[in-house]
Amino acid sequence: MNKSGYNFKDDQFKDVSKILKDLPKVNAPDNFEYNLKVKIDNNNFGLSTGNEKTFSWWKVFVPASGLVAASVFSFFFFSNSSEKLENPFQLQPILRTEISSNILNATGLGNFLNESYKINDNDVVVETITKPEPTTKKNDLVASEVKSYSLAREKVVLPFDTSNSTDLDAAIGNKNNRRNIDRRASLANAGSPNASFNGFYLGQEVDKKYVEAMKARIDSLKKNYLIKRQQQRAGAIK
Amino acid sequence: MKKKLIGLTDEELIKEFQDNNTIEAYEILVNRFKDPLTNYVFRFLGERDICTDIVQDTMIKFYIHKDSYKSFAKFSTWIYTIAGNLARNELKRRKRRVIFSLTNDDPEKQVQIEDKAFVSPERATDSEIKGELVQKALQKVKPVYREVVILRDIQEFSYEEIAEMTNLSIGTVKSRINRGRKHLQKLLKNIYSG
Repeated sequence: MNKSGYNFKDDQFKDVSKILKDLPKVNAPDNFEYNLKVKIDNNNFGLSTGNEKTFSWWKVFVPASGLVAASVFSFFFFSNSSEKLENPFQLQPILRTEISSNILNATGLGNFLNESYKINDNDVVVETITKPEPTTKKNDLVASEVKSYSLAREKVVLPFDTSNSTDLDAAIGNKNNRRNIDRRASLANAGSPNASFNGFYLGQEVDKKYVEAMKARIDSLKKNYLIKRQQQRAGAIK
Repeated sequence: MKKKLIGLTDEELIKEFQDNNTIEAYEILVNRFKDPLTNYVFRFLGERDICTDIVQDTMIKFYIHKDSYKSFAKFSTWIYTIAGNLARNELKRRKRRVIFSLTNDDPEKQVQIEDKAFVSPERATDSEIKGELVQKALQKVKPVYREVVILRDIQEFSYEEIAEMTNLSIGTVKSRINRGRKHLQKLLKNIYSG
């Protein structure tokens, strides 16, 4: 910076500087030192011009969010709700046989089967763990629940025809084609005692009369369709 | 003991206070700087009562944080920096609140707020009235300019010292001083002739 330039500007404002210099000096009050000493002796170091407390959203937001988080945490982990809450890490998984027997009971077929299908020596038997009525408290540990389980043996009706088995390799290689064209595949019928299973499809005896009737119906529909189409074409040409 | 200390410089006194916790050294420094600081803060803020509080707070801070003073700097620079910071803080606080003062605190002196148009040239020569007008004009100057103008023209510090107090470059200090003086010149053009 050019020093002479600033000095020149000092001269330019000489009058202003003089006015300011001539201002009367303002002194501290007479009791200034006394008051100061009193403050120091009393360790009163709180400043008279202390900082005003300014409102900050963070001062509200941070503790409030902490409180909400703590409430949520305590609710989910420490609540003693009357409802039975299933903890998937504490319950024994339901066995597949258990599920199937539940389905049988729900459909009403279970009783029928139980009467018809008493357990014989050659029958397929599955041992299942049945869960009794809960006598323990809801929040008991897993160990106490496991002890009350009981072992049951029951026969399970499987949708398999053990007399009709299929060699997989032969079926793929088409060497032993035992397929009966009259035997159409259908959905597995777990309840039907007449269902046969060849390893892939659940075969079913077909009613020939029914088939003939359906075929005739299809033929008549086709014939009607063709006649209509011819009529439309003839109408269009005219 | 005090007689020995009176002859010491400011830097020697503060060192004595730091090393030996000599309260007399502190009292001498308070006595030396209370008036200049009061004058500086009053010219900056324009209020008598609050300026006394600020200077008191400055001395208290000086007492508490005496060890933060480093001997390579001038003591006057250090203590004026503290006072300037407190004065600026007070100014910021003022902006956040509106103060309505209907009465004058000093019962003996009646200050009448006058319109400029009613100030006759004869009355303008009265030094007391002139001082008030100059003070009012100073209050109209921007604080950043006002501060450095007061330090230069009233407190008579050098540009280097002012730069150290305000933590600005010398160029900025000079620039602000000139702008402040220019504005003040405009405001005082009616009374400074002659």
